[in-house]
Amino acid sequence: MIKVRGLKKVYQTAIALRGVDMDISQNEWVSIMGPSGSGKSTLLNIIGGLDYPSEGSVTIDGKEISAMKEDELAVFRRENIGFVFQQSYLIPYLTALENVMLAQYFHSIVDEKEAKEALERVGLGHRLHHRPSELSGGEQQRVCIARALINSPKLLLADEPTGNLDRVNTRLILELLKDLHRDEGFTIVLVTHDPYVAGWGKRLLTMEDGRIIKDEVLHP
Amino acid sequence: MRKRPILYFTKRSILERPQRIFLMVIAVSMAVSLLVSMITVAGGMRKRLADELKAYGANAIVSSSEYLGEAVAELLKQKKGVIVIPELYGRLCLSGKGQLPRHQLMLNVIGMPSEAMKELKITGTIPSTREVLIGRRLKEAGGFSQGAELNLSENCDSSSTERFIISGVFERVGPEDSGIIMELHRLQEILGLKGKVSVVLLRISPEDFEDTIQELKSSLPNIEIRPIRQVALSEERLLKKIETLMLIVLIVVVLASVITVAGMMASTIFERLVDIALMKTMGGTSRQIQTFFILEAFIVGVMGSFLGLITGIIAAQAITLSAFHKTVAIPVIVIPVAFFIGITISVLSGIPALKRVTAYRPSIILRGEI
Repeated sequence: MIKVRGLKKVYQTAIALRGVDMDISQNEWVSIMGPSGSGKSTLLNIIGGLDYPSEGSVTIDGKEISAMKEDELAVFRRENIGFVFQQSYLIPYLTALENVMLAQYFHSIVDEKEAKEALERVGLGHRLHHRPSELSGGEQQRVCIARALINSPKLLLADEPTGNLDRVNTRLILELLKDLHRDEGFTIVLVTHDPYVAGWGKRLLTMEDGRIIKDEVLHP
Repeated sequence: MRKRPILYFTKRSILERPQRIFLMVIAVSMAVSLLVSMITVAGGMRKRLADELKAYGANAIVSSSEYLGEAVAELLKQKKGVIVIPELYGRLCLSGKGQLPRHQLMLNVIGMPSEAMKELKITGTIPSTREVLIGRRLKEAGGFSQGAELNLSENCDSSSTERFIISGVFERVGPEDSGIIMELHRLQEILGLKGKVSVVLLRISPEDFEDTIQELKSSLPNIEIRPIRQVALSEERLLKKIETLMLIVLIVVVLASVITVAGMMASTIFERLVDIALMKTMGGTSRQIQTFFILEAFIVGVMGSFLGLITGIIAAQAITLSAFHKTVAIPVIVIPVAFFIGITISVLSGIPALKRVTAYRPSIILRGEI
C-alpha cells in the first residue's frame, strides 16, 4: 500500500531523513519508534502529505503523493488518510459532534447520525455536545480518533497519539485503535517513542538519525 | 446544519469571538458611515446652495441708461447655459387695504415673465395677469394673506385702480422683499412701457461665469454687463473646496478602516493557524478554508454596512439640520454603495493574510514553526 523510496528531508539547519526506504502493506499496523529527532514524525508527515520530501518518493495505492500539489494533496488526504496527533487538535468553539462533522464537511456531506455513531463507537455517546475544553485529555483524543475515521480512510497516521495521556487512557486509546483496526481493516502507521505503545503494532520500525535501522515483525 | 454547514460553522466561529467581531463591525461601519454622510451631505449641500442661489437671484445684470428692448433678452436667451430674466421696475400706488399705517402707499413693483417666477422662492402659486406676488416683508407689515385683494394704480392721484389677488408670497434678498411682483406684460401695460424692460438678469453657471461675461461684453458693446452677487459665486467655489476636502478625508478614513480591519482580520486568522492547519489535514482545500473566512468577513461587512448606513444617515441629518436648518433627502444610491463598500473593505482586507496562511504546509504550523 505504501512505498517509500530514497526519502530525504533537509531542513535549513538539520537533516531529518537521510534516505528512507520502506513498504507497508494493506491492513498492517506498523509502529515507528525512535528517540526524539530521529526523523519519525517527519517521515509520518511526508507519508501523510503534510510535508514535502527534499528527495525521494512516497507512493500510496499507486499514486505518488510527493509529486502532488497542495490542493491535490488535500483532496487525497480527505479520501484516504486519517490523522491523530499527540496534541488533541480540535476546533475549540465546536462541540465533539461538530468537530467530527467538520471532517465530514470537507470530505463530502454532513451526516449527523453517522457522526454520532462514530462518537458512540469511541465511547463518547454521552459527550456529543461538549466542547473540547469540557473533555478530558483521553476523551479529546477519542474525539480525534472518531474524526480521523469518520470518512472511512484506508490509512490512519498517528503521531504519538498517547504522548500526553496517562497509562489508563493510553491503554484505552490503544484498545480502541486495536478494535477499530480489526473491525474496519485500515492500515495504521503509529509513531511513538514508548516501547509499550510500539508493542501494540504487528511490525516495528526503529529509526535513528534519519534512517530505519531495524525492521522487525512483532506479531506475525 | 445539514443543508448549510458552512453557514453553521461560520456562525459558531462568529459567536465564539463577539468582541473581535464587534470591533471589526465598528471599523467597517465607521468608513461606511462617513461615506454615507458625505454623499448625503454633499448632495444636500449642492441642493441647498442652489436654493440659496435662487433666493439671491441672478449673478450678472445687463442694463443701460435707458430702458432695454425685450429683443435684448431674446438675444441673450440664445446663449447656451445662461438663464435670462428680463425685469421691469416701477412704482405703483397701493390703496386702502391691510394694516398699513397710511391709506395710500407707493410700492416698488417688479414685472417679470411667469417662467422666471418659477425660480423664485414662493409660498403660493405663480400669479396670472390678475394676480400678484407680495414680498415677505410687505406681507408681514401689511398683514396680507394669500387670496386677499390689493388695489393698485399708476399713481396715488389716479382715480382708476385695478384690483389684484395675492397669489403668493415671495422671498428675495434685498429691498424687493417689501414690494410686489407681477407678470411682465401686465406691468408694461400699466406703466405704458410696452416691449421695454429695465434690466435683464442673467444666471450663469459658476464654471463658465468669467468667460460668458467677457463674451457678452464683446458681443453687446453698447450695453453694460456686470457681475453681481459675488458672495454666491464664492460660496460655490467654497463648496467645491469643501467637497474636495471631504473626498480626501473620505479616502483617508476608508484607508484607515481597511488597515484596521486588515490588521484585525490578520490577527484573527493567525490566531487560528492551528485550526487552519487542522482543516488542511482533514482534507480542506485552500479555497474551502478561505471560504470560511471570507464568509465571516462578508457577514462582518454586512453588519458594518448596516450599522454604518444608519449612523451615516443620522449624522448627515444632524449636519444638514445644524447647517441649513433643514433635513436632507437620502439618495437611494447610498444604500447599495454603503453595502458594496462595507463588504468590499471587510472581504478584501482579510485576503492577503488568508492567502499567506493557507499557503503554509500544515506540518509547519503543527510543529509550531509559525
